[in-house]
Amino acid sequence: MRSSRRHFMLGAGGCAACMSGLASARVLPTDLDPLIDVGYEPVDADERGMWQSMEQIEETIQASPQLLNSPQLQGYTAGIIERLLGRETPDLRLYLIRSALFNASMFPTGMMIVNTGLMARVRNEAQLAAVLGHEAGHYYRKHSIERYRSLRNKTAAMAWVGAAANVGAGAYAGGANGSNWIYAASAINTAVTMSVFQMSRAQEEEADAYGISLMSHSGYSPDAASQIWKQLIEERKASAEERDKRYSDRSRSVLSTHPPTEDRMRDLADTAAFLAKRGDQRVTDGRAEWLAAVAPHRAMLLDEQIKLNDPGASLYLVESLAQDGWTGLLRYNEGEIYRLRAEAGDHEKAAAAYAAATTLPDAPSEAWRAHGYAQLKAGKVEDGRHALNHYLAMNPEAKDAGVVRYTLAQ
Amino acid sequence: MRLRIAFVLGAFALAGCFPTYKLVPAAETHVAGKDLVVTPGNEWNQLPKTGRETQWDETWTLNGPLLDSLAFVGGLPEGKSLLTQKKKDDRKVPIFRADMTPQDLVSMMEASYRVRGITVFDIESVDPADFLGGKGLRVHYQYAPNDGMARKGVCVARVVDSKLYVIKLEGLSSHYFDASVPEFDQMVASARLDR
Repeated sequence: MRSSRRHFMLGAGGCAACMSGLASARVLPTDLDPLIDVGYEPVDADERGMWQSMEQIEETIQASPQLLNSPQLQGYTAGIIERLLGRETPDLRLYLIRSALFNASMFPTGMMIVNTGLMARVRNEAQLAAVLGHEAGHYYRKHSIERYRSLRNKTAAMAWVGAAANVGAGAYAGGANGSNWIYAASAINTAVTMSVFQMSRAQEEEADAYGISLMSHSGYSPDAASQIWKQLIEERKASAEERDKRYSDRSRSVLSTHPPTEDRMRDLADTAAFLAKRGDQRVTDGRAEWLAAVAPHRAMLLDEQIKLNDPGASLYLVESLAQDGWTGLLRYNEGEIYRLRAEAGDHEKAAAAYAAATTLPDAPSEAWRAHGYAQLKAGKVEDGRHALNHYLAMNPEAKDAGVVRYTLAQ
Repeated sequence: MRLRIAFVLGAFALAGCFPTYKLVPAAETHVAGKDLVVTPGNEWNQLPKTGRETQWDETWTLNGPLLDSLAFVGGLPEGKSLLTQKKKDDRKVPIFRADMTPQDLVSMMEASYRVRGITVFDIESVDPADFLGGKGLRVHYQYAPNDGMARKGVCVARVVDSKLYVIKLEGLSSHYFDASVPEFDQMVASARLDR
């Protein structure tokens, strides 16, 4: 703990300097020490009760079909956490969950959940490190237990913990009555969306500061933290514009526990600039490492987003990734966005994207299927048949081979 | 089991605090509007409508909706979607068109899950199938809602006179889905249009 504590301290005398460098950030990265150590145990009955419920939820998540089974990505992500903390992290247990929502969450027992929707959006290792450092901040600053104590007398918190207790009592004792299924549904939903452990605004700001401090000390470019929010704002604006509505920052509501997104982005950018002035360490964004780690999963991550049929957000994502050059996978997904949107002119746009995909060496077999159907729709029967045959040749065991063969036989 | 469900649901109905389920007898019946006719081999329970169902939907269950369900789409017209949705919703199910390819129909069906926050959804097979006197699609799939319990599903779908007809069975992968597949197959085979 001594060594990790050292990591979080930026040194005496930093405070006065940071005031001039931080125009708007309210929490200073220099002020934060971890409040708990490796091997931390709950200290009283309240906390023990909560841990017990959390552990039951964790067992449910371990057996969930939503868990991403990828030792490679799991190990890579856990490695980033260790780099941030400068030590092994037996106290943090990481779960990668297949959910297209941009989210990560931290539980007071040390369970950390990272959604694939977040993996789909980060552009480099430093951006992922920014989120992981922020979540670690919630844990080491004991935000969840503080939040729990503030809520524990409220009906919602108690009902939630009661539901969690029933997951264990029902599902794991082999029970299968209706009420236990409902409890299970409620508890896991809550776990994934974190409606109870939404932190206060002050806690979010503190976790931001804590995370960016970890990044700076472990050699990650602290700019990455504000870049994530910039990307998210741009994506949400693109999504709103597509649906012909005005972008509104939902976290700007007085009821929201999250700092307004644009304020948060500015705070993080200010803090990064301040740290950059102070630091003499060389920093990296770890882009090459991230691209290598995510490559085997890119098709799945894009698929999860594109099939939401949120065309503004999806086009933003695909076009951002294509800034490094269009690949067959990206062109195919571009076509899928237009095919699902299906507005006037979209058939043609989709067809052009599929046709472009099939000229690129990494085109997935599905690009040939989509190209084939697009050609048939356009009345180009021979081209369409050729593409569908190409699809079957590439993927003779395709799940939809039966219906594609039927189409070809017509 | 059916008696128990009927009892519990009956009690709720008497208390006036729960939308009523309706018993469906094991006899030929019109479902999801006037066009589609099926003949169940068991008695089923018709569920009250949920917020996102359209007027062309009807859903039944044998053991409770979290365990199994049998859903019908009885002639969705062109220009409509499988779920009710607002113009400005961020995520939307594609609008049904009569000229949709098999690939488009499967994507549309899949989107009706994805837009509701279900990320793990895997198509197991797509094959041609006899339905309502012609060739339609038979799609097997699996998905994982946020309750952590995997579901299996199978549906048959066909476009007749520019309208979409679907029969769809879903259930927990552990038991309930497989137990009802024979009845689903029998109902698909005997389904007809009454127009």
